[in-house]
Amino acid sequence: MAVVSGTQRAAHALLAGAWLTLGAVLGLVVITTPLPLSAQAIFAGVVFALALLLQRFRQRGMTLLLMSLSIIVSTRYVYFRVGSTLPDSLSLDLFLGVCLLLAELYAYLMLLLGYLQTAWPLRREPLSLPEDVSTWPTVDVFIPTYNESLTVVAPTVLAARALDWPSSKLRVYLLDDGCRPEFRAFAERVGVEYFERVESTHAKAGNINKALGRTQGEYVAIFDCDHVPTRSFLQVASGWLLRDPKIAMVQTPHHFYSPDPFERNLDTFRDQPNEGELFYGLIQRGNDLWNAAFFCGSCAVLRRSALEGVGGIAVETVTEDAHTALRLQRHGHHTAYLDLPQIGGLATESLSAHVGQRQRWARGMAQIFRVDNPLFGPGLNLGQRLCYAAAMLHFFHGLPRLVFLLAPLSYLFFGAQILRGAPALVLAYGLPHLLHSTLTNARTQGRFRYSFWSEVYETSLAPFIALPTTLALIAPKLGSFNVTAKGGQVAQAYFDRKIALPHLVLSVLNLAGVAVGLTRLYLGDPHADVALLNVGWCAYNLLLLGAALAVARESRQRRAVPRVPAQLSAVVRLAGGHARAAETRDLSLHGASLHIPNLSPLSATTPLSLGFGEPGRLALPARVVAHRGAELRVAFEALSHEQHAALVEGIFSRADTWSDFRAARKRDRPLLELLRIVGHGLRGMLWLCFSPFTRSAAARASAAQAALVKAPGEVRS
Amino acid sequence: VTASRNPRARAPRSTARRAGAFWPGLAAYSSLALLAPRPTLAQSVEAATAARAPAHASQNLQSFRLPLADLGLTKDVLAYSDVASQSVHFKARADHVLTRAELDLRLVRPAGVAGFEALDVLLNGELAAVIPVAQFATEPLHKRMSFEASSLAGENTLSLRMRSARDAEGCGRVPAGAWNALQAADLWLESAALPLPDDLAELPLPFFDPEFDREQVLHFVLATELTSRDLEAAALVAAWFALQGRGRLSFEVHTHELPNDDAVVLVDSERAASQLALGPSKQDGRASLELRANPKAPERKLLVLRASDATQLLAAAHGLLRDGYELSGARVEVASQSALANQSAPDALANQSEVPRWVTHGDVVLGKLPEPQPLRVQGGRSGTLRIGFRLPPDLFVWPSEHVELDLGYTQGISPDHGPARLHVAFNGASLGTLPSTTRGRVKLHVPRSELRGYNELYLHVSYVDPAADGGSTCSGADDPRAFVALTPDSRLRVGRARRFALLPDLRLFLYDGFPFTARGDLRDTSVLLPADPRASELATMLDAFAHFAAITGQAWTHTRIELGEPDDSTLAGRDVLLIAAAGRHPLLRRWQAQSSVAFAGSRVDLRYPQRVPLLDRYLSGRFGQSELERARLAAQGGGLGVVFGFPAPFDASRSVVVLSGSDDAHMPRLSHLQGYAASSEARNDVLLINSRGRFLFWLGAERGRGQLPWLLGLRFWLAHDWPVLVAMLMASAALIAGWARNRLAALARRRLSEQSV
Repeated sequence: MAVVSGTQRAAHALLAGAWLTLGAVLGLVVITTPLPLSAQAIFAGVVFALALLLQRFRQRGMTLLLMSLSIIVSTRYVYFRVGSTLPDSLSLDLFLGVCLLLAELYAYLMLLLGYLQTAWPLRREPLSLPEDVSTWPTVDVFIPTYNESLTVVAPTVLAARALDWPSSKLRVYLLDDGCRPEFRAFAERVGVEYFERVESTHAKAGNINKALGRTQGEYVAIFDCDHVPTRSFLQVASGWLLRDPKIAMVQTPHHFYSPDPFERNLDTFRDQPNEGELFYGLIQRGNDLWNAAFFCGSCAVLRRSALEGVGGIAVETVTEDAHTALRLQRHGHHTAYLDLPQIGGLATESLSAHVGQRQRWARGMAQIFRVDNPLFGPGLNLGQRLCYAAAMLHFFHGLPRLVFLLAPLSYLFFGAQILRGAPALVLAYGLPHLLHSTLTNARTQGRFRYSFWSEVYETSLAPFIALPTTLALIAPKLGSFNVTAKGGQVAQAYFDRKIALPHLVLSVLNLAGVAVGLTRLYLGDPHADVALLNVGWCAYNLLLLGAALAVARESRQRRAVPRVPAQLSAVVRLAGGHARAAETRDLSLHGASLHIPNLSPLSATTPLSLGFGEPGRLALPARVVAHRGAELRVAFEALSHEQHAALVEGIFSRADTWSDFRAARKRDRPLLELLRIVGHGLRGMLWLCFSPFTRSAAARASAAQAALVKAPGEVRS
Repeated sequence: VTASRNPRARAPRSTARRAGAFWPGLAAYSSLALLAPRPTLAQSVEAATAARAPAHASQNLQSFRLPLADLGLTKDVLAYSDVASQSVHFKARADHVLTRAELDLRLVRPAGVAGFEALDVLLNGELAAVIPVAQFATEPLHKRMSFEASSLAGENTLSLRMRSARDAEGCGRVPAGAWNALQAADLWLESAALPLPDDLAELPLPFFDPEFDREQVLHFVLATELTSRDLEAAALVAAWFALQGRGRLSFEVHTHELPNDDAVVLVDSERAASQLALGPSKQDGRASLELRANPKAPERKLLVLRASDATQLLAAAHGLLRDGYELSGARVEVASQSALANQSAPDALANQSEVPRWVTHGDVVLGKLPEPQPLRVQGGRSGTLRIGFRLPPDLFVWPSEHVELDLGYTQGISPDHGPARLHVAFNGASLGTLPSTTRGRVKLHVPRSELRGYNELYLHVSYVDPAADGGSTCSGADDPRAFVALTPDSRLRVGRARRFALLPDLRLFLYDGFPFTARGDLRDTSVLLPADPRASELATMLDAFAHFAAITGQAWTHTRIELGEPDDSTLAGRDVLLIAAAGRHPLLRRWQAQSSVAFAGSRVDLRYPQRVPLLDRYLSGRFGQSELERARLAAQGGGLGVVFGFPAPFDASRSVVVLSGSDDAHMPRLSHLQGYAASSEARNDVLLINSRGRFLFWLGAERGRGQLPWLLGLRFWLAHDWPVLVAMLMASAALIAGWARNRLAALARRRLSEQSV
């Protein structure tokens, strides 16, 4: 039987190989068969119409079919670009043409790697733990901190203390690189271990490694100091570690309950996915299929033996987390990813902080690419190599994006023909590539990142990460760990001119390009089609740059502490002892919003108490902030330590705190998103055009910038 | 007179010498021209055209129109040119002298010529007219001017010069596009014929001037039985004439009747000769070639090829072509009887598959063209070096978008005006400007779409004063140190190109005679005529043979001309050229299922061929009926000339081309075959010619001719029948997606079931 089974397997493998070979050969023929303009235009139109038709079917097979179509159409474009559109002779045109081609090849490569990562996101469910808790492993929870304020760190510690795990097997460690007495006192007060480190070498990685040497738990859970875990975290994450000893790390998503600069400044918070959701919602699941889910520095449980086997957290780069995961994989360990948000964290508070964080990530990934390139070296299979390479190459988007932002100017300013051939033919080949990739990505990524927003994110970050990634490739040891500011508050709106300066310059150049192009057209440019194409390109660039400029206009942040949406039953007790049932709409450590129908109007500052759970279990003193109709907003009065801890648990520790954050999300509609970006872009352009004439507003903005409330702390994340 | 074999010894006399010798006659004509009040030349020619009569004002005066575009000032040249002065050269036929000329200019508001004062017209260096720019700055200007005989020479140079205050001599530069101001320019010329002696050495004069680049009409008189052999002899003589020069020839055929004009007469019996009043043969039993006065119009000449029967006539024609003779005196014996016996067997002829005027092997090396051409522009005057060469029209470079032109050049620089600006164009398409160095080598790309059977490489040499903005001096114009030359090893890299074409393709037939010319001796060609061919059909046949000879540089030697309906077996392996008016040939009816054109009496019926499956049309991207509807619309009303092609019914690898017309008067002629035709498709199989113009359509099926590697052939087929490419794309995507689905699902199952314990 074994022989028959082997033969069958061989036959299946042979059949599958023949199947793929036939598909590849047919695809190659399609890719390499050129068509004249009209035929190519109709061909492209027919194929895209078919893709739109297929897109209506929701099966996963159709997704793969759309991906295959997109790959073939894009490869056909690349084949055409490389073979037919480069300038003929050695000249400036050729140099610029090659730059543009390289940028396009990068985008094409990232498209392919993206498809690899998102083709089949693994739907991994949590595994239940053995009923016998004595078999559960011991866990050390590490919360590294450096200079963050206690108000940021305390909820994390309190929530970690409340994790559902046998207390005898759980140790929470506050790892303070800042050696701050108040932190020691806080740790002692709440009953967690406190480790301090004087030398601060290797930043967060060094902090954790030192703690590793002083602890013995079988598993290690790591949280950034602003990542407040739900109580279920360990039970959710540990099942797979218990089941498969080869799994060295289980990662869960980073969920942010405060808006990042894009969400806040473009007013999209909770309406659309934030920048990180694509990675945590889709790409990590896709990586998991290839056994390439990687450690993100927080919200993960690691097997101590495996971690120690690779020498602890990697210290050679500033993205120690990804590098550590890569080492674990090289040593044959497996990793897993569970797409269940089990923490709530604070997003970056301003665009400049956001840029600083992304710069570090970009530099770190470039360092890994340079010093421990996943494409080479032992221990990884092809899927892992490609997934890690995709993660690292993603951060090299700075230069290509700058090329795209500047390429049309080469003709408009200097008359350089960087594309040989009729623009109409280039469009006939290029547009299908863009349309199919947009359509396919909208289908695969739509729930996690709306169409065209990658362009906005990349445009915003490109000027800042182009240089660090390039430098890191040349000299990987340059640069140090920068700490991300979090927990701050923007007291008044202002325009961050410093961070927007590159975009201002690029916008002015593209505006000038449009003006020059229109002038060329008016004067009868002999290459009117080329001029028109480049003017259109500049206009698109301007929309993206406008959106980037709009992000640089920091909106006022009214609340010091973000509120968390929560519909919890509560009891409001007024001073006279009168009690009314209520339901919370949102909660924060400073207050709550409640829904109480038919309540007599309450004036501001009216004292009351807010109770949760069983009567008498938790009652928080509060006062009325506002009462309109059935909506009552209250602010908590001075809370005791116990009340504060209970409030933290109430807000953050519920197992279902973040479970349905995507539930109300609308599906991606690419055209609508394009229109939205156009709106943001126009807004940004208006600021660009009119800000030089509104000196008083600018002065006010400067004053507002000065009034930025100092960040309570910065987070090593 | 004894014929001697020395074909290259004969050199044409110079026009100047001939004009001088007959100057008194010229003076008489000129006086008459000056004294008599006459309509303008344009009016004369137009009136003659309207009356469908030859454009002869009298027996000795000839008037015709010569667009400057035909002389080199094409729209493309004008659009790209930035030199202030444009010149063309013109002359009369070698046996004529110019008596009068008119220039007809249509000018519109020029773009970007601020600072320019006037457009000067110069004839042979003398200022003939000044047209102030102000005259056409606001409204279009139609300007006509005359040049009298005294200002005309044997060879003339007409110059147009944009003059400014800073550039009085027109040696400077104008903004590109400025010459678009010249919307149309026509020369109307009148010439007088000069009397010639009865000397065969003058051939092809007086029948046509080989250096005169205009369509010329030859009268052929067939005083024969019109057997296949007679017709083959006539076709050979027509081809021989075509080989004597590069001018386009058109034929008028008369049977047993002399025209009042110069004519070539083929006589195969004494009886026929006496009917034409040619008198008895002077050398019984021997074929002869004689130049003599036309008994019907003594000032006109007849070239009489005389034999005792059709076989001898054909052999004589073969001999004339194959061997060549030193033709001098009034009469020569063409070939001896013994020679005729040896030459009469077709198999004895050389097995020629090469085409003399084509570059059929390797790259096109400019220094080794079949017909060597100058590669050098001497002196410091702006000008254009034009190098023409023929390639096989089925040269196949797909999928490459271009062919590399590897161009080496040198130039001598006059210190007076610096280096020339060198611009390269190919068949009118601009390829680029060469660096202004004394020598260099560049690689330019000739777009695939620009490759044709006959190709012209242009090197535009412009001398402008680099120090002056729009102004210049003409110093250095005659500096012998100044020159520009292309190196002889410059080459067009087509050596690796394959030979393949989709046929029928009327464009290839009309301009290159393809597929018939694929063999220089037309050995794979059969020409079919009705059993009783009419003069119009014969004229079309002679047109075609002369056309083929001019293309290949070789008169046919292996074609079969067949009258009536041949058996299909005799056509196997041959391309067929069928020449017959509507309803005159049985094969037109027999093959109508395969063709796009059917005849019902004199009515032309257009349709999609019955044997072309609907799928074929759809696969090649021809959806709907629009092309057919357009064709039917174009065919409406009046007489119609039709040229159409289709895959041969008797041999899948061969083609049939039909030259037909709704009646005799509308049989297609050479002049109908070339020039602009309205078309909505890149390839065509039907040409309709009527009083409203020429219209090309693609209605029928086509087949590939030539061998391609299978993968290349598959790709080409897909590119051609692109809807299949859609199906192939979907199939490829489905196969890859299916494979990926199975593979990824298995991987996912494995990942979720992993348990190392």
